[in-house]
Amino acid sequence: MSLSRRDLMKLGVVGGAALALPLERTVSARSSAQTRLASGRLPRPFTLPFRVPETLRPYRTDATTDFYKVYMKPLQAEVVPGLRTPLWGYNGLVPGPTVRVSQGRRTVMRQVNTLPGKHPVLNYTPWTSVHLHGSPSLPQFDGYASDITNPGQYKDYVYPNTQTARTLWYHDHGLHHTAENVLMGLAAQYQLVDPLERSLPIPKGEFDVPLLVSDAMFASDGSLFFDNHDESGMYGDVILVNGVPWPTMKVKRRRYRFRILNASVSRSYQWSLDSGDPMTVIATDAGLMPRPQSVSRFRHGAAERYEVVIDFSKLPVGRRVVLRNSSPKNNVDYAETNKVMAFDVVADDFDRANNSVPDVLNPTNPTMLLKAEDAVRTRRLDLVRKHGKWTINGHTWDDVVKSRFSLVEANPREGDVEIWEIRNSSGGWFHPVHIHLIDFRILDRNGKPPMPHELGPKDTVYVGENETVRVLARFEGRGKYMIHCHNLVHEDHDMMSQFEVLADHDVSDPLGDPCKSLPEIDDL
Amino acid sequence: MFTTASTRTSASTSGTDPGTGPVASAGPVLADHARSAAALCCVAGFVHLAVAPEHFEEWAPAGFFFIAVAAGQLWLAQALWRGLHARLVPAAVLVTSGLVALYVASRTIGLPFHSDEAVGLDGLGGSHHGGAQVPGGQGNGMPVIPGSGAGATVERVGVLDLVCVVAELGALALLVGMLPATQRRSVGNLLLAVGVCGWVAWGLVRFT
Repeated sequence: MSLSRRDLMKLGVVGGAALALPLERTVSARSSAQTRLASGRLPRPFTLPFRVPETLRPYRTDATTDFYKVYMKPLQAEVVPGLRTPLWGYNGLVPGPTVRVSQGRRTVMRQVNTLPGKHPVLNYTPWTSVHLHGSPSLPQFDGYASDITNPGQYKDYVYPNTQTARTLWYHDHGLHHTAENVLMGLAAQYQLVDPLERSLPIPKGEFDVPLLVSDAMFASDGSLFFDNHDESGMYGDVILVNGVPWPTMKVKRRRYRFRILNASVSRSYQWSLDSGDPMTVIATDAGLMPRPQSVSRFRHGAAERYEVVIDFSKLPVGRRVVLRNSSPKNNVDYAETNKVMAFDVVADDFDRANNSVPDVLNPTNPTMLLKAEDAVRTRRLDLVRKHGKWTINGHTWDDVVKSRFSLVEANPREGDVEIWEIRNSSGGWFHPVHIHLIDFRILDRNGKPPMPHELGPKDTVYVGENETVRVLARFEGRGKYMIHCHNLVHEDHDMMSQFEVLADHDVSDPLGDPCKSLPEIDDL
Repeated sequence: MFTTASTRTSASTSGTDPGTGPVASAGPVLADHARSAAALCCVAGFVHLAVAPEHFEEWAPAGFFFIAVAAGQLWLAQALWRGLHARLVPAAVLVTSGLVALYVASRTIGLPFHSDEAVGLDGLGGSHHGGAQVPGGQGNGMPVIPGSGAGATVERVGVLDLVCVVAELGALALLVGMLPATQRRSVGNLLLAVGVCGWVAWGLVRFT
């Protein structure tokens, strides 16, 4: 019993189909990828002017509260000269408008999702969840990833603003597509001021400058180019500062305070000035440091905020100083990603007030006064890639969802002080880890003291390759909050879990205040 | 490996009726074919076994399916080696054809069932693979990056896929060759029709 030529031909037809059709499908799927914009069409560094994001004005105010309305909506921006890039912005702005609030005044922010039903390239439905990063918001207002607002819905977020002065930021945290939503533009600064900060002679007003640094890649049609490198990260070949590629800022011959937010999806930076001059770090994620730290370079992971003072007073008019990036390892670098922006020194007159950095900034920050001996226990968080997924202690957000949101990595009691030991045993990637709700201080890294620029209160910590970082915090607040890697691709795939601060009563449910459907039936 | 029409005649006249008794006892050529088919089924079975854990991780029923397929193919391999009863050959042809068809569907149009759909059924939410169902979510929240295949229900062809499907197609050809002439003609025509339909469907999608 053998096969004739005729039998072979018949089997050849079906066998050929079985082999060729799947291969053709795979090849055509690959070839349908976007075409990356040629590097020759990108703007040359330092040819575009610097700009500061707009400030958001309250919709109304009362004795205790400022009310804001924000509409998330699509826009077309000319990021690369001559090309239109579809983006999404808070109030149609990228970066979104900066919010400036005073300690003790509550904020109510209505976030209205008027985004289209589907992303123009990636075809997902852009539900959102807005997180105010750096705020001890109640669980239902913290941007819990599964507390989503679909297009055509809105939610009122309440922020207490009880903490010390700091640079916060609000950004999307929607389940499964935070990276894409943030890359599309859903990110902005939120600055909280307090009497101590106001009393210090540090640069203020026009000399207090927000820098949202991000990176992006563009397709030949001007749209954003998406490549998450097999779920390891998104890295652009263009460095954007406040949405402008490698801008140039005119600076007067005095000190400036820069609130640097690394709003990149994945990229980390190591800043330095090509003049070799030092930068004075005055504040970290959660506010002013006890004492300023002078550094010539420092490492900055995604979502971290560092406030630095740069002194241009000794430089001659006409001098250009370049803020450079000597990239930490395990980023994907391109020809011009070693440059960030330029400062051109000009001769203009300036206000000489608030032009110094005192030796002491905030010596009584309660987080920085905590001691390791105050801790009632030590917990460990292991950051591990397991079966192709990014996990925390082997868990993913999918596990949290499947547990009906009962799975937690830690359950400190309200008021407890704990040490969390965060371990990255891989040499292949780094993880900027964000713990919601709390401020913490870094005790040590691989048993050594934290780096000078980290000697302030934090909410996100760079856990580098083969690093174990111990952080110390008091858990004030109640309920469930997320812990995750702020490489947003890692977060989406699915390095996110949660902890719960236990209390005897009045614990809020993070899903307890769902969004409402448009139209807005209740006014703010 | 395969005989021509003239040798087929001599083989068919010299062997016993393959419709009765073990195929290995039907003659040396058939025994060689059975052993070759056994080896190919063995390869396919081990590939399915090797990829079962990752499918288990993604969706437990998929993992069980792969283990069951691997067990079936390894059993078939040993049965062919020892002398599979001829009455079981049509069933082996049918199952092997079905597996190849399932593979082609999963790599071209996608399968109608998927882990996320199953997870979504209990209202808990979706995994990070494929079309995620999220409580309160409208539509699919999973971005599909062009060219990456991420989030798509159509899987990419990998090296192990090719190894497995080539082994299965080889085994299928050998199994078809073990069928009695009348059955072989009918099965061959049926497979030809399926193959032609596949090519026509591809042409319609590709060129219209």
